[in-house]
Amino acid sequence: MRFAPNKLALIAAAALCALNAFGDPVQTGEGSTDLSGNMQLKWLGKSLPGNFLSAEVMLSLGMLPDTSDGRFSGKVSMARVGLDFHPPKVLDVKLSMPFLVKQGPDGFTGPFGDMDLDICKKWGKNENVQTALTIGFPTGYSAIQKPNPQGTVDGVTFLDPENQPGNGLFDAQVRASYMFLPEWGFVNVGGAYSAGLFAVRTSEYIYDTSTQKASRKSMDFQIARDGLGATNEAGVRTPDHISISADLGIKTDMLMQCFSLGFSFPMESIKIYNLMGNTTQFTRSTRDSVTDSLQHLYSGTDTTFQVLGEQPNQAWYYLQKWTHEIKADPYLTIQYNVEKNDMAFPIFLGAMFKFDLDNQIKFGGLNVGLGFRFPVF
Amino acid sequence: MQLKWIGNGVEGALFDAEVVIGRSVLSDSSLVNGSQYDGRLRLQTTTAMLNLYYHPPRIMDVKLTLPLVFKEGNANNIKTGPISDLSLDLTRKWGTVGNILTALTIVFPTGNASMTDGVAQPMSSDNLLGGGVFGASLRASYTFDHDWGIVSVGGSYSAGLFAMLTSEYSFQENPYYNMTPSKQVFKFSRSGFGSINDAGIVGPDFVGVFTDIGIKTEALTHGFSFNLGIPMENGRSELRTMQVSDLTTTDFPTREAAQAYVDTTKSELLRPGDSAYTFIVANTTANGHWPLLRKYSVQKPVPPSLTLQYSIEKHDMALPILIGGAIKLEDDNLVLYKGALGNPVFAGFAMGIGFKFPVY
Repeated sequence: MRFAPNKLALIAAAALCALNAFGDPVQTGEGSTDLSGNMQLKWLGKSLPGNFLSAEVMLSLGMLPDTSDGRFSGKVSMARVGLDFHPPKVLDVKLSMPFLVKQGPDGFTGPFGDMDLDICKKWGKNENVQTALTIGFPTGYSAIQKPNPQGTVDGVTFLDPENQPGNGLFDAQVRASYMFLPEWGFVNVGGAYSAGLFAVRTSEYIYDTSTQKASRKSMDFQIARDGLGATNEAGVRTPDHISISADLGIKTDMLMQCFSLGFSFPMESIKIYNLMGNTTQFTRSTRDSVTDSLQHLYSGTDTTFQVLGEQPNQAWYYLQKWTHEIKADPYLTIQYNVEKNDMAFPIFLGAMFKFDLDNQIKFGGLNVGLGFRFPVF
Repeated sequence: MQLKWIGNGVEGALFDAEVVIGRSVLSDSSLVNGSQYDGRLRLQTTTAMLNLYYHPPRIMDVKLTLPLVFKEGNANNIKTGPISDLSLDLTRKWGTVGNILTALTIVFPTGNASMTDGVAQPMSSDNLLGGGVFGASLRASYTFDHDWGIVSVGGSYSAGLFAMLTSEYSFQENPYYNMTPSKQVFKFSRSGFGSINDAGIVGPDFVGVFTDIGIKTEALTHGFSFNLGIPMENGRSELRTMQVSDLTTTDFPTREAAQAYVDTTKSELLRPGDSAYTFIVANTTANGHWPLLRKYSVQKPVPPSLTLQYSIEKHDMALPILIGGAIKLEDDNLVLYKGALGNPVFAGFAMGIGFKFPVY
C-alpha cells in the first residue's frame, strides 16, 4: 500500500473577504488540503453579503491514487459544514467541521474529521490585506487500532495515517494574502505556515492482567513538537508545511469562474513510531533479563523493548518499538470552480487535481465537489 | 437511515416527484467489544430514493417509493444492490386546516433478503437489500402551525406480517453438497412481536415517536427532526450457518415422515450447546439417504435508537432543493428499552441531497 507522505500540508483557512469594484464581497475561502490529508475544495467566488451568520455545506468525493497505472488506494466522501460569523468591521470567524467516510484497504473509517476555527482580520481601505490564524482541534479519530501482524489486537497497533479520519494534533496555521480587485474579478496571492503543536498522548503503558495486553495507564496533554513536525498518539510525526497560493476569479453575469494554484513544501519527512505488543516465551526470572534477551535478538537495529508484565506459564508481555521515515514530497494543487450567483443560495461546482513533485510530476489525487451557502441569521 | 423532507415542497401539482440521493454509514465497534466507538465504520449505503406523489384534492395523498440501493462493507467487503423494498404510503389529513394526519404504509419485499455470501452461508442482515416480509406501518401526527413555521409530533407502529417462506428444499450433490429452495408458500410470518423472513431473520416490530420542526425564512426552511425507535423485542435472530449432511436412516416412505422423525428425535441430533439448531429434510434423496439441512441461528441485539436530523430546503416553486444530515445513536445497554436513554453510542450517520419537481 502506498503511503501518502505529501498530503499533509495545510493551506486550510476560511473566508478571506474583500469588496470588489462593484462593492460585492469576494471570497477566496477554504484550503486545498488539511493536516488530516484530506483534499478540500476552496470556495472561490462571491460570499453572502449582509448576514451576521451564514452556513456552507460542501459535499465532495476525493480519490487517492495507488500507483501510476490508474488504480486508487482510497476514497474520501465528505460533507464539510461551515458556519461563518461576520461581526461588522471586527473579524471574520469561521467554524468548520468535516463529516467524512474514508475507504481504504483496512475498511471504512469516520465519521468526523478535525474541526477548524479560523479567525481572519482584514486591513486597508478596500480590505485588500488579510491576515488569519486557523486553529485545528483533533475531533477526528486518529488512533484507530487494527490487528498486529500476528493477527491480535494489541492496543498499540494503529491504522495507517491515511486511513485515520483525523491527525490527532492541535495545530495552527498563520496566513497572509493580498487581493487585487480589477473590474472583471479578483486576483489573490498569499502564503501560509502550518504546524502541529499539541496532542493528547499516552504517557505510560501498563500490563492489563484481565485482557493480557498493553493498556494505557495515563494520557496527558503534551507539547507534540518533534523537529519541524509534531507527533500524535498513534506515533505519526506530521511535518510542518509552508505554502503559497494564487487565486483568480472572473466574473460574468450569471457565474463566477475561478482558478486556484497552490504549492506546498513539507519541512520534514514523515516519521512513524511503531509499537507492537507481543508475548515472549523466554523463561527468565526478571523483566530486565527478558528485556536483555529481546534486545540481544535485535542487536544492531534501532528496535527497543519494554517488558510490561508476566503472563501465566512464565511468558512475558512486552512492547516492541521501532521507527521508520518516509519522504514527504512537495505538491501542487490546481482547482477550477464555478459559482452560480445567487443572493440567497449560491451553488458551487468544482474540481481539484493534486500533483506530487518527487523529481518528477506524479498524479496525486483528485477531488470533485458540490457546495451550497445560505444565510442563517 | 433515510432523510425526511421537511419544508414546503412543490405546492399545487396533482403529480409530483422527489429524488433524494444519500449516503449513510453504520459504525463498527467490533475491535473494542462494542462498548464504545473507535472510528471504524462497517457498512456504507448509497441510496437514490424516487418518490412519486399523487395528490387527488381533498381525498388523500398517495406516495410510491422506489428505492435504489448500493451497499458495501462488512466481512469480505460484500457489495449488494440495486433494488430495496418498495413501499406505498396512503396519507389522510383531518381537521379544518388538516392538522391531524393518519397514514398507512405498506411495504413490499422487492429487495433480495436471502442472499448468501458466496460460500453458501447466509449474509449479514446489514448487507441484505430488503426485509423479506410484507409489512405495514401505521402513523399518526398532529401539526401545530405558527407564523415562524410548524411543529409536528406523532408516532408510528411498524410490523412485518407475511412472507414467502421456503417449504421444501432440493438437494444437489454436485458441484458440492448444497440445498436450494424448491417450493415457497405465502405465509403469515409473525413470530412473537416480530416477523420471520425466508433467510431465517426474525425482525422485531418497532414503535416510533417523532417530532419535526420547520422554521421558515424568506428563502429557506430549516428542518429539525427527532425520531425515537423502540424495538418491541430486544433481539433479532439471524441465521449464521447452513450445513448439509446426510440423514442415514433410509426407511422413510416420504419426506414428511423423515421430517417428523427428525423433529421428534431432534435432541439426539444436537451436540452440546447446539440448542439454536433446526433441521430440515430435503425432498429428494441422494445415495439412498435423506439429506438434512442444519440451520443455526444466533441472537443479535436490536437496541433502541435516536435519530437526529437537520436539513434546509431552498424554496422554489418548480425545483426546491433539500440538503441534510442525520446522526443515529443507539443504546447498547438497552436501557432505553426500559424507558430511559442511558448510554447512547454512535451508530451511524447519513447525508444527502434531494430535489422535488412537479410532474403534472
